[in-house]
Amino acid sequence: MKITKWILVLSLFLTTLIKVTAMQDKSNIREAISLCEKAMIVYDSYLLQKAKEILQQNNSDPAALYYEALCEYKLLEMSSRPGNEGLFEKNYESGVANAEKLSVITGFESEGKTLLAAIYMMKIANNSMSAVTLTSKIHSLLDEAQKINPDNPRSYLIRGIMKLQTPAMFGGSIEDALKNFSKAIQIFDKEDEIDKIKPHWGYLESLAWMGITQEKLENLEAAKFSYQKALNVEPNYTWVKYSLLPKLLEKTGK
Amino acid sequence: MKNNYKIILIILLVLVGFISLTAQEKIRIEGTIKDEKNNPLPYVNVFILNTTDGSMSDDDGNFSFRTTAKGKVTLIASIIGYEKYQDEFEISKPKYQFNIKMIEKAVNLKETIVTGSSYGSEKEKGLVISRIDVLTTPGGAADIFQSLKTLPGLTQVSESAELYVRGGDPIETLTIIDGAAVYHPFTFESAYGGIFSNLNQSAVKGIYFSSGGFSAKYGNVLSGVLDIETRDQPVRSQYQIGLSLANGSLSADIPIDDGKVGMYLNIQQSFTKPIFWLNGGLDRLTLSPTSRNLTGGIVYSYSKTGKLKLFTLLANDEQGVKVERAEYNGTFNGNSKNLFLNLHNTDILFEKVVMKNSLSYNKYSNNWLLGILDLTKTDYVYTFRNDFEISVSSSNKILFGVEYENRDVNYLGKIPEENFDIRPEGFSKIIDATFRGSRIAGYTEYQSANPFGLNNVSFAAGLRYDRIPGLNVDWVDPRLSISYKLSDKSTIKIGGGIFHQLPDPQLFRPVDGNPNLIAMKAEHLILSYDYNFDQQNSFRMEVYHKKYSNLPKENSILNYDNGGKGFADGVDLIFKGVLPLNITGWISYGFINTKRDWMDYDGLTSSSFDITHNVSLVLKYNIAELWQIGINAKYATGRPYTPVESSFYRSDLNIFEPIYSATNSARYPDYQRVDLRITHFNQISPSISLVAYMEGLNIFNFENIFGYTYSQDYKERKIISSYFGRRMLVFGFMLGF
Repeated sequence: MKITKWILVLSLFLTTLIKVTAMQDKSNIREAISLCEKAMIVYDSYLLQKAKEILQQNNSDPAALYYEALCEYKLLEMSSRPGNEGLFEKNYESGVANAEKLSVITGFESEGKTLLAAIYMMKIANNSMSAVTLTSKIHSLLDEAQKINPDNPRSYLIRGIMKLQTPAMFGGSIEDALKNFSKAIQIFDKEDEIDKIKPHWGYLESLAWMGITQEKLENLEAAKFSYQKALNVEPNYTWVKYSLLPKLLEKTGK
Repeated sequence: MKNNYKIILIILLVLVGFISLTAQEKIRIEGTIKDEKNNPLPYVNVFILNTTDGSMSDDDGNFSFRTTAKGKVTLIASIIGYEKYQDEFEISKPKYQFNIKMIEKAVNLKETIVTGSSYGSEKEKGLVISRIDVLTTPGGAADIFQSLKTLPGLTQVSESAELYVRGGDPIETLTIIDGAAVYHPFTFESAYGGIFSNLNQSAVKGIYFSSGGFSAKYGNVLSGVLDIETRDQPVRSQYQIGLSLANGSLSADIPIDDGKVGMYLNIQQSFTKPIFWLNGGLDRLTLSPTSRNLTGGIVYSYSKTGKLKLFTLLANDEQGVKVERAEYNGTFNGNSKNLFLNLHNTDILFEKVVMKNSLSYNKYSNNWLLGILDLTKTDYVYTFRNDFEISVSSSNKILFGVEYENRDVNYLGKIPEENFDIRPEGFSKIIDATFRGSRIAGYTEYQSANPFGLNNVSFAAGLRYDRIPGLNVDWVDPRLSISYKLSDKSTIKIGGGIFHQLPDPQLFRPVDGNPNLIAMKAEHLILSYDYNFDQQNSFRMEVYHKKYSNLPKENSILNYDNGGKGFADGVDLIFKGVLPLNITGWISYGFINTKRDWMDYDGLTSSSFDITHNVSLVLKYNIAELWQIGINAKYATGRPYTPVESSFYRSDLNIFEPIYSATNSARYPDYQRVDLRITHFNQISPSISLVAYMEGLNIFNFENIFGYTYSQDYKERKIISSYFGRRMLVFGFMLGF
């Protein structure tokens, strides 16, 4: 009888401990996600690294794995900046591996494939010759991602960037880029509630890239609107606040 | 207590006032956006100027947002391809409804596309063979013409780069660079055709290729059109060094004035000796084929819409090949020189008119020496061309233009009296003949989308007039193309028209030709079906019928007359896309049945270009991120030829004269070839890129026959194979910095 009591107490204790640990883990993940988001807004590679380290410890959770891969993608994006030379080597292989893992996890297939496409896109940015071998792979991944979830706005964002950055003679198209950014923004605009733990980044980037595309088309008012809208959503969005918008204002003289 | 009520009442009043004030500040703006045909326009950016208030139209063209702006505001709606909508109004009520109609821009932003086969007169999207396809097609040697030969409708007649389009002779395909005709775009021209094009692919921005039924703006051409647009000014400095077993090259991109002026240059020297040394075949050459080539351009953007391009192509080559013939063993020595200069201007006038002008000069000369044959050909061409495109409305366009071409072709030298006796001591005819064929032409074409309210229908109807004053010859060619969009993915088209072209200038030689020949005529009828599965996968099928008349035909009194005729019927299929394992590429198949009664033929018989089945398979697989392996497999029915039946001894000449069987009554064995290419692409540092490749040509060493040579009495025959057709290994690299 005594033993039964002890077993009962012990199981209760263990269950509570597991629950508390899990909550602690979730709270760690949430914290790391917030850190990752903050780093993306202010373009801070140090914060991204820190977020990545926390997420790495919890990456048995698909959400943590996703954000770890997202941090890696963003670090790859920052690797071309002076002082960030080693970032590419440190994050590319693991980014690909994590995104590949995500691509087969139920519920993350579309986002995983999109992220994998984005990471390959960074490979092209780092080594333009790899465009020959990776371009069709990227578009295939995005096709698959959109087949799984036609309302994945990030897949349109990445396709738009690809279309904009690829020279016309190799299949790039400003028109296609604009359509993809528009589609991404339209989906983001429709999103009501955001579950902070699920993938939800990309709105600011879509607005920024939309502005860049409008600038290329010499629609400067529309470009300004996009940049200002991005700042309205997030006043500290560094890329737009300190680079894109000031340059545009300098161009328009306003 | 009374005081408390008072305070509560005041607070309530303040709150109500605040709420109503806030509500007043949020003004609702909504509406729909449609195009001129009342179709809803999605993805239109709608916003209030100088605010962050705005949204994007949905799939039904609806938009809705709130604004806090006050007073006089400007609503803007913008989308690519349409005029910006702008409406200034005073905010005075809580809700505004807009029904916006967007007007399509008269001149849409055009992006370069490279189409495969096409019927329409516009450079339309659809089946696309991109420049990267040209660069990475195995066996193509990054040569535009060699890569195009993997498309359906182009028959594999020989290893040459010449384009045999749907049973037509290569001279029946017109090559145009920035509006100017180029009649000799090849190096190493010989009786087997030119091996490569002398236009470097790096100078090319876009290619439009049509295998029939093309626009009225193309004249004096019977079978196909290859319209090449050269590149724009470089935006950044870049240099490239290339070295392979076959050639060395240097190229430079030099921006001069902040995106306004720039130049590019490519110098190439080919030296095929190492290839033949490594792969065998040197024993057949007395002078291994070598060529020098300079391609360059200066581009000046003199306004936002105006651009001036000065393009030049300078090439020369020479070769010495041992030739075995029944009556004579000797050496064929050939050389050629080519200079092409073109000044091309494009501009948009009054926002609705696209104007293109080109002024070109081309001087080509070649010399062929073999036994008694010693012939020099010079070809001077001056062209001037003016093209206009007027956008009458968003769905209607008028094209018109004029062209003038002055062509002087001179043949000077000796040719054998009899084609079976080329010995140095044989009899010859002296040739000094000039063909002067200046041509003036004009055309007009009307293009319309959704004519008479017919949705999903578009058509192009054109008419052109050509006149050759020197020959007192003229002709009128009508052209028509209608397409119907069956669904978002599929389109059916029907196209056709009448096409004229002057025969080969050498047939106008008074000595062995007829200066009074008139233009050859072809009537095309083509039915096409396109299906685009998605952005990367597409399928096209074309069925065609061509009827030829006025073809040159041997005449015992006049040498030649225009009594020849013929036809070509066929089907072309191509699928381009992505296969499992991310293998990319295309497979094409062409079936043709073509017969002609022309030149020295005895009645309607298979022409020399009647290649019944043509299959090309081009596949590329990325074995690693920076490594690609590609395969190009070709199969074609053997080419028809006229066999020697017997011979008799000519005591007056002391050689045998062959007696031929019926014209083209036999076929060479089927043509087969598999090329393999491994390419490594790498960015060694941010400023240095490397492309290294290894190519195996005809890896299975299929023996492809291009002719027979005979023993002195014609009783035994020996195979003649192309010296570029044997199994070969080529490797090289390109370093960019």
